[in-house]
Amino acid sequence: MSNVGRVLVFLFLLNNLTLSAQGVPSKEHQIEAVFLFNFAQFVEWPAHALPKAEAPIIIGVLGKNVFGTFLNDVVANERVKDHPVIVKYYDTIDEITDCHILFINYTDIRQWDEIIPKLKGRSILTVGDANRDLKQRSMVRFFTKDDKIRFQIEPEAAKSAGLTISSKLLRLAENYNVN
Amino acid sequence: MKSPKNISIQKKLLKFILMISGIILFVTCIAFSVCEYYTFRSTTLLNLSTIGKVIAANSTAALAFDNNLDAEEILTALKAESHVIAACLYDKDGNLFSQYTSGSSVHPFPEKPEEDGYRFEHFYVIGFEPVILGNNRLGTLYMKSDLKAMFARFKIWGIILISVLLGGFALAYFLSGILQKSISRPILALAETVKEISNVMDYSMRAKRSDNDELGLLTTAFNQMLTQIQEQNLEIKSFNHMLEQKVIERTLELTDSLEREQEMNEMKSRFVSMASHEFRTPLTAILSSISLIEMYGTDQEDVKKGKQIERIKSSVKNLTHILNDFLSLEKMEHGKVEIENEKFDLNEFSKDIIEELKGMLKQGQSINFSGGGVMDLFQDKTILKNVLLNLLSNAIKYSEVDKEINLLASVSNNLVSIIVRDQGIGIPAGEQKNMFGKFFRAKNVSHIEGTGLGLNIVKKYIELLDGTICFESKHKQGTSFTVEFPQNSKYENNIAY
Repeated sequence: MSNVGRVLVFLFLLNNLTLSAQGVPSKEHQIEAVFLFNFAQFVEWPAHALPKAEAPIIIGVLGKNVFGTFLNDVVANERVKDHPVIVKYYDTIDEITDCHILFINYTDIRQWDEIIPKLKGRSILTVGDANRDLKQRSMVRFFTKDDKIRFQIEPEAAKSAGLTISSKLLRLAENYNVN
Repeated sequence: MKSPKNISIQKKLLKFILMISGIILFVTCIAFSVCEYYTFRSTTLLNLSTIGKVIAANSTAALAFDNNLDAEEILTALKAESHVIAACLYDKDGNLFSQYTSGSSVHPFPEKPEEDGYRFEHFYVIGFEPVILGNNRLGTLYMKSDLKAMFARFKIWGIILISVLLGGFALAYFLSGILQKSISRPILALAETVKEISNVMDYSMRAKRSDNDELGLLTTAFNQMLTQIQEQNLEIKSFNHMLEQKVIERTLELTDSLEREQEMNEMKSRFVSMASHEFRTPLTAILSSISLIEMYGTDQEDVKKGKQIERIKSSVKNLTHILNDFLSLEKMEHGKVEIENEKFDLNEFSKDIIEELKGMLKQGQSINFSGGGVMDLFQDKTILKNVLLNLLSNAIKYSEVDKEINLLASVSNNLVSIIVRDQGIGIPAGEQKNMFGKFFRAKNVSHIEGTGLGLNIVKKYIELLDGTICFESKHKQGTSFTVEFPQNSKYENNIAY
């Protein structure tokens, strides 16, 4: 059984126990963590971003880590098209060197306004919260609908970053409507 | 129904050809059908698995991001495949994730995904296709397809099959109808010829040979047989003819010998009756003369004795004459007469005979001979003597006293001609044609002794000399016999007839 499988079983158990112990992320974040890994399988990076076959795909978390070690568990031993997947945690934007998927977890809207323009031109799939990045939008924006995690995709932004998003992923994307 | 023995060769051939072509067509169609069935089965499985792979590949994102609405949307695309009647997706843990059913049909889905792969189940094809992303299995796609497409195809296939069978059968019937004629026609022609030959009994007819095949050989053999029959018929005919000829010959021989036998018998009985009658007179005369001689005692009556002795002599001569006639006749009838030719002079010969007959002459009778020069003959003297004695003694016997008898002899062109002419009682005209018959005696001579054999013997003798005899006669005026024969006999001596 793969890690994803284990995670799903874990999620199931967690759901039944409705426990929220210290260090254990909420169900919502666990799903988001799995999604982050899944994005890696539906996005293609330009050749310069992944120059070698064994070059790792790096999933970065900027800001507060809401996943605990969960995200590390999800990607452990996984490979996407022969590339291993690793997780990095960043406190500031300056720490980001090589990164492929960046989960931005800022609570302050102003911070968003800074970070997105700074990352422009870099082949990084930015993932954020649709409720927060209102002005400067990230490429993938999570939101909740009918108790399910859904996401919106900004295909133009991804395209200008040199990323190719699979049509399968695109067809899952929905528009976020502010209630 | 007719038994196979009574069916004509045409129908038999037709039956066989149709049977064979029917069986071949049927077997071929079955083979194609089986082949088609398996091809279609595997095609159906392949099609469904292809669809399954496409749907599964499209469903990866939906499963990965837990979006069953999107999954349902993807499954709805199966509407385009009308024979897929139900489909569903299970997630990683085997829970029903999303489902699809075509139209209003209700199909229960398996509770849990089963083994991957596609298979036939009852009248459906079902399949389980894994949904895999990268190295991870995200879930399972289940699909259920009916076989309406297969049945529809089989329906078309069946129609084509039946059409081909019927068409092929009809074609076979039509072609065999034409082709079997090449076999049946010469057979029928041969049968027709045979029938005609046996009807007309004409074995010179021949059957026409059509081809160089077995039937041709049969025709040739039949013709050879006809030739043999014809030859044998000819042989039988000629043999029959020979037999008939032989039968006719034998019958003739039998008839001849039978006639001869009858004649002999007749002659014998006539001889008995004649002898009993003719012998009585001379015998009575002899008996009475002897009685008288007995009575005449001694010498003085020698004259009377002499008279009686003369009578006895004459009677005995008469008997001897009669017996001689019979002997001659018998000899001739049995062909025992031998010809002994010798040279002699007819003049002298005639005079000797006249001299010999002088004792027989009645009172005043005389025989006048007139010959023509030297007449040397080479003939049987005895036979000729018998002829002349007979004719002359007849002339004496049937002439009255004082009547003259003429004997004329002449030779010209090697042909001797002798005429004996009397002036006697003559032969009645109505009886002249029977004169040379055996035992025939004319009605006007019943009072004169005679056997009726004399002229018959004469005629036979003359024939022995290779000569002829004829006569002219007028009642109460006289008769003239003419005998003609060659001067020199053509026969050698001692030839028996």
